[in-house]
Amino acid sequence: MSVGKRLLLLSFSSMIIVIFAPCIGMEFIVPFDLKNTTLQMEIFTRLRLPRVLVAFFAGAGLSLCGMVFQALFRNPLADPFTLGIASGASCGAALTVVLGFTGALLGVPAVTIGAFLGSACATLLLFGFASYRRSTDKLTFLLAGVALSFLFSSLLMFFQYISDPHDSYYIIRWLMGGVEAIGYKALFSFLPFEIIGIIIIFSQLPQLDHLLTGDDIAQSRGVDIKRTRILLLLATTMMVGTIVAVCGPIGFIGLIVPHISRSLFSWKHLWAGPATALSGGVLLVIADTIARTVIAPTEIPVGVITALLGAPFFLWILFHHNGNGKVHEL
Amino acid sequence: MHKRLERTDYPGECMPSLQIANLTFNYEPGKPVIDNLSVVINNGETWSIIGKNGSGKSTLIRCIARLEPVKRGAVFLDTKEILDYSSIEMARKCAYVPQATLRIPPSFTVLEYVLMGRYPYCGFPMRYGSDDRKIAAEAMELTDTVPFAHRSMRTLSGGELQRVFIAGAVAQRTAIMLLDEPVSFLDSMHQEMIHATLDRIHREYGTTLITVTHDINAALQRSTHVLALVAGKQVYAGATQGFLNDAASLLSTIYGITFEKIAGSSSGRAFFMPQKGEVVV
Repeated sequence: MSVGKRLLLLSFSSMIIVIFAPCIGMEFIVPFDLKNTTLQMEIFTRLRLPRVLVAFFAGAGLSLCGMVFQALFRNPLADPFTLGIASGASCGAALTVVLGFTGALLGVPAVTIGAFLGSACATLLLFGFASYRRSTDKLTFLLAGVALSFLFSSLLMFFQYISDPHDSYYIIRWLMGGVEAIGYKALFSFLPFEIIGIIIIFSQLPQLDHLLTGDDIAQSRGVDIKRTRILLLLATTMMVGTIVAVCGPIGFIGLIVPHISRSLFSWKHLWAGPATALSGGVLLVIADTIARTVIAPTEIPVGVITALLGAPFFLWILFHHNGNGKVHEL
Repeated sequence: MHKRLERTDYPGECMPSLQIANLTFNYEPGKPVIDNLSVVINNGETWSIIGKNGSGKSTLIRCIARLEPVKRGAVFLDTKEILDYSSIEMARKCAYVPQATLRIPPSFTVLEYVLMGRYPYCGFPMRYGSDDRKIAAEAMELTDTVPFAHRSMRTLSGGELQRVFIAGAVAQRTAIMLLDEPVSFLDSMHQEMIHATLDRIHREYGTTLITVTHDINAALQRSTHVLALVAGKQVYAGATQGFLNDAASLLSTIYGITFEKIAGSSSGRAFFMPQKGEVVV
């Protein structure tokens, strides 16, 4: 099957999954069924639908960010989480909770702003450090990111420790990752940023291909790598910050989905980009559907499910699908 | 079948295409890697840059390709300073072939990679048209890379990979091609294939080739001009014939060892063999 057909199949199945996921729950609800009670319709449109949409867009965004980082660093382990940017976002969000900022600015909730500032802070620290030292070695960069990640995690623990029990529990639960934030408010608090981010990333897909050939070749072929890098960092920082504020740090998706889509679809980002977004979204929708149904009415944090579901699949791709086991080398 | 490009239709012969004026470059302050270098390179010439490891050869072509930020001195391309070109304009004038054997290639197929050389000619939304495909196919034919067009670059041998990197640069259709040690680490047969490929590119397109090399004899046999560097300073820049007139002493200045001249090759030019014994400098 050609890549185009496979992508078409993926889009089609994603659509079906996203349409069917809100029907599934403690009780199967068929939308637009005239026999539905008002309560059933309320559950469908105001609880389940926004939740599925949040899951889809968050999954898509986190996966895309992972794909971008892996290409930027030519490293299979790079993603916003290993580089400390998500930790920065978590830290910023936790600080907002601890300091008791609630409210919203221009319709953007305080936690989202806090998380965005946190992720921006992490990105600036990382790249400020690198440009000050004029370091171009990507492994140094990655290690610096890992160190930053630990730094922010410690800060986060500190904030959690000094906060009151209620806030502390809230932070712990949020750290496990979840998309249960109720209603459309959560969706609209990150969707505009995400759409801008996706547009930026999709406009740079051919440039990402060139980055995989190495900076010097990319540059000699006319790619303005500085501009591409800044645009992509801006987009990912914004997306990670705003998604993490709503869903907590759901780490695994951003790391594995890009590998899966590269090996099942294409190394060309023009294909891998849409494939990554769609499969990341669908994966999180499936994980969340399982999380809220398997031991209903109790919910399992979705972060637990993504790894339980994704890890075996990823291992299969890694060792079986690409017989040489070299799918990970960028 | 390969058409010559417009740029070769200059009114007079030998239009200067590249002019390096008082170029000085250093990575660390006070330690110039390239020291006050001035060279004029005309259209259609083939230059070999020779010198010891660390003499600034690679850095020089990276400066020309604008991969290193030139702060002192200037490089002019078609009478305009390279810093004044946009990334895209620059990529249409000058292609760079890095040392292929030193890097992990990307996982693209050969065709995908060569097509990517058309980047500077594709506007938004970056679709490669039939013209681009034709030019890529032509570049692959010229470099004998057609047989493995659909293989992943990861599966190629060093010699094949080097030709693919060259094909990508050919697809860029530039007046100047910069090559960083294209034959190092290759066996004699593959070296010969690369040389033949480069000869063909020069013949078909009139491309100005600027090659960093450690192969003195290949440089002296094949290129029209030689630039020799010692610790970033030029010790010779000009026609190969001029170099050959004084080759033995120039070579010992450059490499710090003595060379023995062996006359009577098929091309009529002499060969030079490094001699056993003491290091001169």
